[in-house]
Amino acid sequence: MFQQEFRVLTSDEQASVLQLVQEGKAPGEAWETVPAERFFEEMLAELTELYYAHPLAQEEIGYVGMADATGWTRLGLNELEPREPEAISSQPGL
Amino acid sequence: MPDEEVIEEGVLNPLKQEVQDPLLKQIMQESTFEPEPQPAEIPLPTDEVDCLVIGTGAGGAPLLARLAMAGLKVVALEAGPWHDPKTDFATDEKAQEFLFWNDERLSAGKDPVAFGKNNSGTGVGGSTLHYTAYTPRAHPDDLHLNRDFGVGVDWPFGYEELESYYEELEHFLGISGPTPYPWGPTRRRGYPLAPLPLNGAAQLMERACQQLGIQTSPAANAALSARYYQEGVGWREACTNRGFCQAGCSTGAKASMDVTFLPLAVAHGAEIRPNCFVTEIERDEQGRVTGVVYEHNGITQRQQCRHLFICAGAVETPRLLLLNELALSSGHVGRNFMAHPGVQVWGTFPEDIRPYKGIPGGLISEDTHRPPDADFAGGYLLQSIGMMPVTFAGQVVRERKLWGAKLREYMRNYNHIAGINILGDCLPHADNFLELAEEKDARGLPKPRLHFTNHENEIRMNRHAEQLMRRIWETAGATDIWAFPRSAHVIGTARMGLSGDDAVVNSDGRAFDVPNLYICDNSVFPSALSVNPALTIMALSLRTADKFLESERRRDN
Repeated sequence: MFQQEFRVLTSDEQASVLQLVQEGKAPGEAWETVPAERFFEEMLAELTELYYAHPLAQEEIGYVGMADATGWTRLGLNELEPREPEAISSQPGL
Repeated sequence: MPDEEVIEEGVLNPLKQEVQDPLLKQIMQESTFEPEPQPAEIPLPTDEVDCLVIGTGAGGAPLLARLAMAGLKVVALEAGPWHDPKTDFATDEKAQEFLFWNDERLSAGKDPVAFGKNNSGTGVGGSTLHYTAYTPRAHPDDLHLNRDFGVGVDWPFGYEELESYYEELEHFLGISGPTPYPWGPTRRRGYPLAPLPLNGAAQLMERACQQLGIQTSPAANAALSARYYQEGVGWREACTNRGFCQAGCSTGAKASMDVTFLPLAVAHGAEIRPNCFVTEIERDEQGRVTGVVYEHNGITQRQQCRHLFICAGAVETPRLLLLNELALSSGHVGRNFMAHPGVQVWGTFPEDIRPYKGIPGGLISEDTHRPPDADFAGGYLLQSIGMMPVTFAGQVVRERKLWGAKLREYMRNYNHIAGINILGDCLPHADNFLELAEEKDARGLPKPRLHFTNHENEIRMNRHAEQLMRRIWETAGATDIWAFPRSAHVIGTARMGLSGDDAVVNSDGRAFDVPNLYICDNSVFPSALSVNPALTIMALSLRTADKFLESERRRDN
């Protein structure tokens, strides 16, 4: 599409290529034989699961479930154990 | 090529392995390499066991214990390994994927079912190693969809046949639940343990349902809310609310088969052989099963038996029957494949929820068991759900198609997201079935292919449930509500019935075609039920063992 290798594109250009693959609209011979939307979904699900298996990605979303060795006793809404870090922002999505 | 296995006279052996890969074929043709001469005959153990059980999950383990306790010589063959949960299980979803049956299964139809996690397990204990431990009883009318709605088929017996087994199981496994239970017939005995504590998602659902006039209750879960002494096993410690049930319980508080029925069976003399994958079922000229051939660490072995119990789950059980051309006269092996409608609804809340804590299915409502405004047959139950990040993120990208910055932004709400889902009845349909594919697995055996399409009844039920769950989540104060359509469990591929014309096994679980073959797992369910299947599989397992023992006693007298 940009007549260049994917890895030398700018990140905006890379994103637009990926977007087209996701929508099944990417040009090129490869996508005439591979169902692009299906391919993208399977690849995305696999990569996403690997990404969120990483401790740094888990830290980013505030998951501390791995610290369960002694179990949890404070389970309810807004109830935290001393070892559970407070949310960075009390407003979700910010 | 190794010498062909010499087959004993009178033993049918329909399996023929072949090399499929063209490159490998070419290499083998060009190669001058001569393989080591193989022993032509599989060593024949002199011992014949009374009962051989294939599979150690919810279908195989209870009957294994029952038969061992009756003094019979019993052996169980399990395809997967034997784990020590205390040392082998990590709090890491990816690392725990060894609990799933990861051999490829081909999925077809308009709503292809996802395999691997959720639907299948391997290892001593089977799928109970990763089940959520949600253990509601079936309702009496779940067994009579045909009588009440004129669709599907009825079970060949009524609820009274299961009731005493439910009661026995609840007390043996140490199920935590509410007494009295708000739905269904009055019970003779309550649950032995109080319910487990409610987590954030359960509290949100409870609060909203109260406002909407929907009755809820803490759910029945096969995880201990207090230390429990178990016959033949000893003390099991209480649940520590790790929330990790679906990726393996490391504390033994969850009643998986490896910490309940299997140690009981071993204490009474049963032998469990892990890493044994059965490929062939051998018969004599009269069609009686004489034994099985299995692979153990690359070595082919044979075990002879007087009676065979196949408890390998609703994919591997019919696959074994089809591979061996066994018990096929009804034409129903592989047919009637059902999967529970299980749509989930997610929402974002201002409260700090921490969805990784507590038993995942904390709260239940069965007010929707037979909804008065239903435009479908049967019904469903509602449950609150906890979730772990990896599984959840995978669902987010499949349904919402987010990636890059937008995905990270949404996932940063993880601690503020909660879900509810349903589990509903599914009808059998002619185009939903299992067959053997042309494609072969690493052992050279045809892979199973499962066709699944939701029909009008399932579509209407999911629609009804999604509307209701969206209303509950709006009432609870959620924003950014979205639904994830899914199907759960594999059911019905070797069904039980009154006649060999339209069923594979009789009401005792015995194959119509083969007098010494029993089947017990979710494949024998004539209908899918409106509740999670594990407790009913175990009840059928105990019942199958008792029916077998009764028939043996009759023959002795």
